[in-house]
Amino acid sequence: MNKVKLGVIGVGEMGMLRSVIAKALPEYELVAIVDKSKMVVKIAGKPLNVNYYTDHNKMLKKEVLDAVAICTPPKSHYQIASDVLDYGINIFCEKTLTISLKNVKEMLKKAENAKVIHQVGYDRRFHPTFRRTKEIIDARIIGDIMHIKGVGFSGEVLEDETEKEKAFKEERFGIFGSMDVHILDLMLWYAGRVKSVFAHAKRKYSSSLDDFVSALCEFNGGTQGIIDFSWSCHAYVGESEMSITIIGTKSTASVNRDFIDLHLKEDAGGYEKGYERIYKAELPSFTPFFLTSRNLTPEMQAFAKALLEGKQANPSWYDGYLVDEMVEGIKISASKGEKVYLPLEV
Amino acid sequence: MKKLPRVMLGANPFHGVSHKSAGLRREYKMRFNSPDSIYEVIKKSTELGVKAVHLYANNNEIEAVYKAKDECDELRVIAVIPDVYGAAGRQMGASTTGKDYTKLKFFLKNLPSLLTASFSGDITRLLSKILEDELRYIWKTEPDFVLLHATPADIACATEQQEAMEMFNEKIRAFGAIPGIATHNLVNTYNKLKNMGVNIPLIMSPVNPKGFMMTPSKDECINVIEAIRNSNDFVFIAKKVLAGGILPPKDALRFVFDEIGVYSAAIGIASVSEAEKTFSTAREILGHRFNEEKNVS
Repeated sequence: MNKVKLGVIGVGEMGMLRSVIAKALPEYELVAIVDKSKMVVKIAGKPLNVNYYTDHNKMLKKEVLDAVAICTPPKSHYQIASDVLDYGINIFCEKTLTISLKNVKEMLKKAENAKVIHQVGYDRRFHPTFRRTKEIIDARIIGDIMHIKGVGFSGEVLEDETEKEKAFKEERFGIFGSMDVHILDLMLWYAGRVKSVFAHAKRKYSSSLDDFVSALCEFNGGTQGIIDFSWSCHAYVGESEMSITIIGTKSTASVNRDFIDLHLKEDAGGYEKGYERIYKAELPSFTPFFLTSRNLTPEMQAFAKALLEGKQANPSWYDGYLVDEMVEGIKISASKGEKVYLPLEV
Repeated sequence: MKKLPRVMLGANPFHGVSHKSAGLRREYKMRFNSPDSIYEVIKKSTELGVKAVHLYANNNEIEAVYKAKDECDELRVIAVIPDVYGAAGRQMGASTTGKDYTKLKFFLKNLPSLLTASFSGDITRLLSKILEDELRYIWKTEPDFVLLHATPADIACATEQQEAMEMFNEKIRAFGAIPGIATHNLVNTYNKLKNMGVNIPLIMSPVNPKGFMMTPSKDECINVIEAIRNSNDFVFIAKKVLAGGILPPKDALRFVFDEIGVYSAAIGIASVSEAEKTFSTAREILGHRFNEEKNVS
């Protein structure tokens, strides 16, 4: 294989961006796209100059593919992934893997049995500031991580919503769906697996979905963790904020989408003792094609590289499973009002 | 034929763009939530000798530029369209965004174009109609140049939408302005535009000493800028000159104008004092060249 023959299932915003990036990157050959809407798939398919289908099973039957990108809403991932795995095809799947932990576990097991390469769309791992923070942690510049705190505030839900709007958000994992799962993934990437969570949740605008979630966590190795999420902050309408603070034995790092604030006790890894702010603009990530400020191109390059080298991709579905397990643990803890230990019995 | 100045006031802070922090983005959105605060920055910039302002398709910017043009005949406008989310809102009825019937409104409003697109896969007619709506929305500012926003431009070039690019060229010229392209993929866009042979004479792309947003690499972008400088096919405008606001104007402007030799640069300014500092520095670096203009047709 010298190019990845790709099929994209679901051409909403994410699927369309993935398709365009696949057209632009030399590692890919975009072969076909799928969307349930005949009109949408035709409007997208003709300009992309690819075959198009309204049923993913028809595409799987007709096309020779190395990989499929599943870009539909999470609720549909389980069935589509299962169908794709029947053909033994490698899969990139948008986050979250699905909306039920049991289904995620089955998806992961089936993918491992099929011996395919799988990746989940936690694209913040490819963002310059979050990626550099991981490099700083791996270089032991922070030392042993003693404490990690993840904060996610947005102004997405500020009034009572209709039943339809609630159902739409529930299908997308509620408060966790858009941004907070990224924070959990980054915390797990930085600090390792979680041993226990003790959560509290508050509902203001909905009887079925949490609007505020806070949790204390303990990571394997003893790192203490704090999670503080809300999608009901008036001050954050149109400008959400996600940040992670890591306190280590040698230094403290606070990272968000724009910069890393690094406080070092002593010179380490090319950084001087004291305070330094490292802006995103100082960490240019050179890719063959830039589209939107998201990190989709390096993410898709990483998937292609894994396929072309025959190695497992990162973040894998196992990483996706760990995020979903943490969300489940938080929900159980908040509803029971007690500490929950991971891994969960599924 | 239109005259393109060397130094232009960029518009990013006016619609809340900052690459430095979420706090600054929130502050810009609050600071520039009326035409008056935008107008103050434009006015100061023109007093400092700046002859052109960039404009995105939002109401506050349009009103501010309209007022500034009323007082300064010489002020040239470089519009960048479409503001993708704003355009979507206008197509669907901005006041109803988020409600179920917005989709219905969009379908009814664009039914003929959508039918054509769904039967044939030809999206040019639909794009043409959206473009016309956007041009009408900004037209009272009488732009001299209209650039296609980087996201749709990069998508169009990556997927080789020659027909759509020709339509853009014809439509902008029919409205009496000169068309251009904003891009975050300079090398790819430059090569594709040359291959397509579409007569779009302006290209705007990031240039700064950090290499921030210079795709695929700083060196390759600089090579293309040199090729543009040595050809008569395109004129180049630098953006992201201060690397998202992290560089001092002196270092950044010296790099862009003297080391790389770009003709023209757009610099985003968020306050009157920033305008004073940045444009005084630009005048110091460019000397008599500060007032130069280039004919573009």
